[in-house]
Amino acid sequence: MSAGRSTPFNAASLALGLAFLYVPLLLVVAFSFNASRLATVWGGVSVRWYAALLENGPLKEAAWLSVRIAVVSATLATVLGTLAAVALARGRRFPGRTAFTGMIYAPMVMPEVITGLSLLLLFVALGLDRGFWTVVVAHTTLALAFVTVIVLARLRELDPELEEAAIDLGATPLAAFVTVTLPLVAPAVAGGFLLAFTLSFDDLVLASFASGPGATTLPMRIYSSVRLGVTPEVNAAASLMVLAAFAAIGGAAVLSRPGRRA
Amino acid sequence: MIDRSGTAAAERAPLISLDRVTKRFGRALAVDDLSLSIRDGEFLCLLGPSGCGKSTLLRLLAGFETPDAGRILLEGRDITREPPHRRPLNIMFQSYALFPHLSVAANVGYGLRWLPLTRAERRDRVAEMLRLVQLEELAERRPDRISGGQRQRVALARALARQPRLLLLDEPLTALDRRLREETRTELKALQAKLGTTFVTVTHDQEEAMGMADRIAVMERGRLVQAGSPREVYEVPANRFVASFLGEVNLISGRVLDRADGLLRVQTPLCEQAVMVAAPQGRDPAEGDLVQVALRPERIGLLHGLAGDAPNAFAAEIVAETYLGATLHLRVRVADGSLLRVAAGPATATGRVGRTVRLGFAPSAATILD
Repeated sequence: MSAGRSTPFNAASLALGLAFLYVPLLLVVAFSFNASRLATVWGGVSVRWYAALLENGPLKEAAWLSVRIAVVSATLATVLGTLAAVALARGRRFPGRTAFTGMIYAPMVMPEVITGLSLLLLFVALGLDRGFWTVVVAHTTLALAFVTVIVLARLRELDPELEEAAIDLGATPLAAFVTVTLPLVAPAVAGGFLLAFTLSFDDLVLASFASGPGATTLPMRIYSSVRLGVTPEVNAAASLMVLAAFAAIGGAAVLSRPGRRA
Repeated sequence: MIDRSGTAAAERAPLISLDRVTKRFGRALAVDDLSLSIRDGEFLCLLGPSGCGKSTLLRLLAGFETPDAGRILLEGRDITREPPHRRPLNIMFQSYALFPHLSVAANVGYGLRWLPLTRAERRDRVAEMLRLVQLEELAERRPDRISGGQRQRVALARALARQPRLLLLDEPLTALDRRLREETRTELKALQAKLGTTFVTVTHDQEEAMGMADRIAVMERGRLVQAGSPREVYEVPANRFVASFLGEVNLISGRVLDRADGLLRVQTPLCEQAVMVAAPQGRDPAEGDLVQVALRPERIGLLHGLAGDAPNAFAAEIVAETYLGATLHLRVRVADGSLLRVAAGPATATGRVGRTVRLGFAPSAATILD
């Protein structure tokens, strides 16, 4: 940021970009405090829709399901993604390592519709009942790639001699990893977990393909109720999701900041 | 103390022997059929330019690399394939590799976690090590909150805490600034003498090697060229590489005329009459052989007065002089136009550029190289 100067042009582009990103969100948040029953007509300030949320059984159920799916899939993605990152960073060069690295990243760029469709085909072919676990698998697939990228970046800036020093001092390779490498990449692992949680919690596309009757996530519930018309209650639910997502992303950004000490 | 490098240690069995060790990286030969014995209690320095394989040799000893051929023996036991965490030797890394998330005391105690020691024994050993390197006050600091010289001492204490049979030091002084380097060199040597632990350091700095080691092993392109005491290696270099890597040397080509009483008469471009040089040990150049006469700058003396019949005297013109306080460095041009370096004493008169002087050297001051 040392070269940055706040010229009027820079300030204008920043304002424009931020407006583009956040005006719609701010509208949702603003209208969630709307006293009027009509979603788009302002009728004074009220928190009645937040109170109404607490009374909405299906919505609460969907939110609880989304939280459980997000926790489980983020945990799985964090473990698998961290292991993949370690293999890619520490493993000796093997033929096709670059290809493997590329393949790990693929879910990030693959259109979600494609990922969702292929998972649906797989679940149907295997004869699995779609529900909680199929959504978990779908979300793990997506989030794993992000965790790998974050942890790999941290591992690459770590001096490989640290682990060698631990081994030289009598630690087995596993003990060296647990006592030296893992504590040093822990912030990135935690950041990866939070990002994975957000990805799962916010996802609509993959969940729509992978879930079945009886397993409706919060975004699915919101989406289907919006088709019947936007209610202030949905605005309130969406505002809470925005809050949760910002908290998680903010946490992830702080934790995976380069050069951060454990 | 001096005889540790000589007879006393030589009689002891080697602590570690490298037996015809070869290590390749792809097609590059990092260590080439190298055999070397490291004696118990000695301070050995592996010296060579970067890329000569000395760091690979260190990693082979530590167990981070496995040789493609040959064996490594620790007191006669084959440890070639033993993983690094089981070898009773420790490294002090060039980067120190201190654990940034642990305090100084926890860094020093890290290697003790894996030994069957009680908590109290561990604590005592850490305290003892911190006392040894005079860092007791900084025990609870993180490595990034102490100076470079202090970090070096933490790394040293951490590597010594397990009481290794052998301590490997990878360029131990390179990361320090110049003044600290000399001080640390003396400290390291004193520490090694006090502990009696075998030290093997790797360096590309000949001054560092000469200043610390009992014995220097000079490496070139994966091979061991010469191993000996600093004096041996400096005064009787095995070849041109060793001669020019350790300090400055003038190489003068010549032809052997004959030999008599352990002296060779060599015809050189220095002067019309042949110079007398002590015959090399172990080699016997025949008459007519082309050889190199290696002559250290400080072994060439300025002759006063005429002294025309002094042995190995020749005339030369001073073309440049550099006054360095302790010595006066001269560049002189001899009869055939080639330049020689001369390091004269501090009392030598200056301001004589362009003048012709007479120089000479004793037959024992020069070495014959192939």
